[in-house]
Amino acid sequence: MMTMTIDELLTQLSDLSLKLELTPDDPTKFDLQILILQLRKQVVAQAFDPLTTLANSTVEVEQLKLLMPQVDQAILTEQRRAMLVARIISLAKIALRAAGVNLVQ
Amino acid sequence: MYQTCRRTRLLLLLPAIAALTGCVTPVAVRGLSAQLVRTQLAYSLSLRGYFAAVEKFADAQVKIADYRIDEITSQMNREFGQRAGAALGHAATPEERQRIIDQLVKDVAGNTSADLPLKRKITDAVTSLQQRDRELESAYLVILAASQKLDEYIRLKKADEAAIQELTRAVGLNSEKITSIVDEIAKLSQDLTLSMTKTQ
Repeated sequence: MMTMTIDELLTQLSDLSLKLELTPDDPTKFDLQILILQLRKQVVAQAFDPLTTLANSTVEVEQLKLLMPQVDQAILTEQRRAMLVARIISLAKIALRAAGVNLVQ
Repeated sequence: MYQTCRRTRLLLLLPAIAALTGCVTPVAVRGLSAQLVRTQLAYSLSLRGYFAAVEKFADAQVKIADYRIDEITSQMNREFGQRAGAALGHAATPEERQRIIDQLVKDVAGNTSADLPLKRKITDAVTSLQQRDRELESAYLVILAASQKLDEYIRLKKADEAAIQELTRAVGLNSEKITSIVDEIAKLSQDLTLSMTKTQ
């Protein structure tokens, strides 16, 4: 079965309407004119259809949200370890100085 | 003399330990990470501007579409009016005239009310665009936050780095310089391993 877009249908009906221009007015000719105008309104509204398909694509970021607190925890752990190491080294330097080793400040 | 010798040995030892343990974050990695966050931040601002422009354009298109629909509706109503006018000229009785007028009122009302679903469809489509923009914007902010979090970790002074920094300070060396030296040593060691593998 051949399918036709509203645009194609509108073009064909407009061509038909032009052919009937010189014929006397009658109810069928009037209905055709009204149908063409209705289709023109549909074409205007149809131009916005592509925007409705946007809702079908999504970006999944829930996993990122779940993983970020784990990195926070890793940062906290690392900061504590670094503080501990700094304290140990500081103690070691005191011990070295006490033992007579000359260290630069 | 003994002190100088010990200090020299310590100087050589520090980068070697760092290279062997592989605990120092390379300068290039820190640099890329920081730049990535800056780029993503700039991109998010550009994205916001892009969405705002597209939405403004869409709003203008809605107004144009509404205007065009109203224009076509007026044209159709004129057609209905002309048909009714012609029919009234041939109407023989008051009842027949009334029937023509009733039909005209019905046609005009039906024609105008048919526009409402069309206009609603258009505004719904634009609302969907705006909603999608907000979703993409907020998803990108989560991506940016994740990058910033990773960057925070990469830039973090790790326990091993803290130790090296303390030691280098004690012997009067720039820790950034040591980090670069460590990077170089690591690279050299990698190249050496590769060449050895090739020669075997």
